[in-house]
Amino acid sequence: MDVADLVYTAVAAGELGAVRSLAIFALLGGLLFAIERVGPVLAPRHEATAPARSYDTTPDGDVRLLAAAAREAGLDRGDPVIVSRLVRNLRFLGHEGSDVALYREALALGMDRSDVVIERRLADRMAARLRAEALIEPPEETELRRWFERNRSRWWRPPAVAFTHVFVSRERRGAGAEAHARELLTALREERVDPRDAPARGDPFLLGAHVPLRGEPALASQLGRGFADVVTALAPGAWSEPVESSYGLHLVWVRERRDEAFPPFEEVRAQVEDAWRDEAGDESLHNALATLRHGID
Amino acid sequence: MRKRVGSGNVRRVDAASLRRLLWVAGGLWAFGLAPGASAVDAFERTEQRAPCRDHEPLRRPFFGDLHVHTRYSHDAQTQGTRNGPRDAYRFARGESLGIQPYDEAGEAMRTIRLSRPLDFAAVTDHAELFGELTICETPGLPGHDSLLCRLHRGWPRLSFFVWNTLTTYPERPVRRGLCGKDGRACAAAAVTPWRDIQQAAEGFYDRSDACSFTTFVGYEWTGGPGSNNIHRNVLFRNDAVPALPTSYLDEPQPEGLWRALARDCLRAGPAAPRCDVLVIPHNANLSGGLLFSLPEGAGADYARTRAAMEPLVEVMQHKGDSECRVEATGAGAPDELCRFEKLAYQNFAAKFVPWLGEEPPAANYVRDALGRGLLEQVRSGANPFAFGLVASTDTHLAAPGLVEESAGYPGHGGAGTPAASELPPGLVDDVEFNPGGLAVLWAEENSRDALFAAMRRREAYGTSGPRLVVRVFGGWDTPPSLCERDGGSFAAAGSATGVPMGGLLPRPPRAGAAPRFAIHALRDPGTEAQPGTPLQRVQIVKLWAADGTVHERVLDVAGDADNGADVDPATCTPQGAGADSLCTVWEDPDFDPTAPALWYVRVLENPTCRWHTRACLAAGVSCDASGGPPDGFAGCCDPAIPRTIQERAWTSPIWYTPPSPLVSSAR
Repeated sequence: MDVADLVYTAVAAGELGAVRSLAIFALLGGLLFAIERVGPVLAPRHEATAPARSYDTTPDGDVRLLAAAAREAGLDRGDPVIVSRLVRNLRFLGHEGSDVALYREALALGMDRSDVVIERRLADRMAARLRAEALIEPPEETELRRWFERNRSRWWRPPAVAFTHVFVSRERRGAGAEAHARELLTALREERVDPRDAPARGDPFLLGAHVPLRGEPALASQLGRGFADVVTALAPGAWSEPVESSYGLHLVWVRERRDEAFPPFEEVRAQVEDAWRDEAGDESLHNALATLRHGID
Repeated sequence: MRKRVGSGNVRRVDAASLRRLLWVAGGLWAFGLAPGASAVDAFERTEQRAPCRDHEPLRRPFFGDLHVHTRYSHDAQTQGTRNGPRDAYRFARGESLGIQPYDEAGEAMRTIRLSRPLDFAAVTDHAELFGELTICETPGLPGHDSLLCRLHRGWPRLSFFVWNTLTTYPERPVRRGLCGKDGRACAAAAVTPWRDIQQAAEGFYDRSDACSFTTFVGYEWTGGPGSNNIHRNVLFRNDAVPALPTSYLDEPQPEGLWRALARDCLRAGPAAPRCDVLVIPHNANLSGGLLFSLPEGAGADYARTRAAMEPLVEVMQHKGDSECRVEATGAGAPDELCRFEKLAYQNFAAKFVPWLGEEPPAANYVRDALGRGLLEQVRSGANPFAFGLVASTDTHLAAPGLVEESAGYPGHGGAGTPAASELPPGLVDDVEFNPGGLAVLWAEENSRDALFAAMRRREAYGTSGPRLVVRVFGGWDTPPSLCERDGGSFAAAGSATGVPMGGLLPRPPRAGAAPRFAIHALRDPGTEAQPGTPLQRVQIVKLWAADGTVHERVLDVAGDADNGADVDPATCTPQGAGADSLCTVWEDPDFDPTAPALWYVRVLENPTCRWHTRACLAAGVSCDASGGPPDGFAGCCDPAIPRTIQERAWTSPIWYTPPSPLVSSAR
């Protein structure tokens, strides 16, 4: 925070009305006092509290290599971060003039070559470009397929069933729910009731009687884990014994069942390519760095 | 100073601003995004993906969280949150997640996991400081050594207040010095987190035919002029999104945000032809009346734009409930159920500076705004507050959907009690806060287009956490016997004879007709470890405008308020029975065809223990002990905080607008 920031904050606070601005001024006053008192010790504490995941873990040697490659590619020209840095440095040294003039002056003085901040900025931009290079050309289909085979566990699919059910509400039937469900089951089997007509014999159920092909996790979430485990194991084309859910009993006719599976490549090709590109970007950067190092050797 | 209507203030919007809004409104209407659009329209597909094998034309409910913060949010990071968007999505899908505090080896000292995965989630980090945070966390970048950055790294708690004061409280905020000229350095640095947020959303979106999980790219626009919260979450329909988010620092007025979204997304043309977006405001309860204020001179065009851009409002989350005030009643007794999760202060500054505290104004609440929307309908011919309802968590731990009122609730990670470097003794959150709620969307399938369309047509509701299922249809000829039909027939007949929640009733078909509402609620199925709580009752909240004022009635229409069920706060053991399922078809006996009206549904569970009651019990806190409760447990004995709650769901309303001649007579 610089003085301009504080002045701005004070002005902004003044726009908020007398009572609020008083409060904010009081708060800011306290903060300013605290900052002045503790400012000198802020930096050392950084090490202890910095997040574990830093954005930049590139070794210094690689930073130099990448920065040099960035200059060669012209990434340094007009970069807003670099311009801002150079202009600020010159102003700090007392130089005056427009941003453009100061930027040119800094370049003439070679200030962009000796600044570790600019080195790091260029390295970041070059790394991003190298990662992106892997994304320009789509992968060869055979390569993508091989990669998919190696990583297919990522696309595991749980078992799923499409079914029709006749609901027996424990709330409506009370202690007689089990007996009522058995009576219904006998009737459904003996009368060979068409599953499409069967739900009308049961109690109303808000979530519907004809369920499309639904995965086991979604079923567990809607009707309970026990129900999902039983129903996903039922064979199609027959009325089940009463199956317990969170709400009551269900006589279930499975219309279609899909075992757990790993989908074919064609079905998940877009996702596979996305994941491949993510990994290819890492690899592209890694290889480019190796080449740059080799060039130095 | 500019002021806004509704908070005792009036803000002036010039004619040019309104003209600019006109084309936004025009564009939205042209795209069929107007309030009251038909509820039976099939949704449009705007992306390449496999067709969902679980496709239910009559729609089913999907549960998710549309308000999630990760380490890219300044306040989350200052409370030690290290998890990013990918961690958030992994957690939402059911994987375990390590959270702060971290030990010296960098290992998380707490682990959390959802008992049930979510169907969808959106990471919505605060967009204001994307660039600043990147700079402060990246050694070597210009500004990394600025005092603000050092403050951020060394004194995160202090930094939280300073940054808020600098960036979200002023009416005309500007980028700080570390951002360089015109904020360009911060804009350049913001690309990194914004891109990462998009990539994470893409990586975890299930585009296969299993359609198991949906993500949305989004962010939070974090405006808080004078500490009055006018925060809004911005959600994009698919992966076509603007190059950078528009934050409060870029556009410090909601109208400016809408214009920017129209420019960069809705009307971006070839630059983003599939881009579509909506905005969900939240925490009206902390807005000092500002969130639901109207600019001076706002008319029908403004109203249509607002309703189209903001089809939903987050009615409840970690920082309390925004539904209604206890005093908010028309005829009859006060609505005591409005006491649920109420904060005692009108904005966030008043929490920390108690002498600034005032009685929260009526305009801080959704019900008041919904009612004023009806008056605006009469006055201008359009309703700016034609919004539906959802809830979410606002987690700052990157933990979407962690809503159980359990002793293991780990806190929030943003506001409230910090746990960055160590777990402080006592309650893990400020006692007045809560774990938050869920957003529920009725959609054909679990895909971005289907869920987004549900949000657009407001076929949505919020819950305070439980996975209650609620379905509502309103119509003139809704069959009275609908409750005797199974769910499929209920939905088929309900939609054939009326509109679902979020819809607009058509014209009455005949003189003397009264609207009928079919409401069916199902209790949370729960899990083996924690069965769902039975339902107590279903209520209809009716608002209507007549004689220039808003009238209100809250009616029990199913279940039993006196069912005898309760919970013993000394043990948290529930007592008494409730319902698995409640269903009714209710006809409004006092319908006035000349009065604009709306009806929304509130479903209540039997009473249960609040999270802090369970935590206090688990810690063995006694409020009778000499010397008072142990350190950090004072909240256990705070008489202002109810020890039990009634978890609930709030549906989007169904509206009625009289035909024009009748409106004239209502004025």
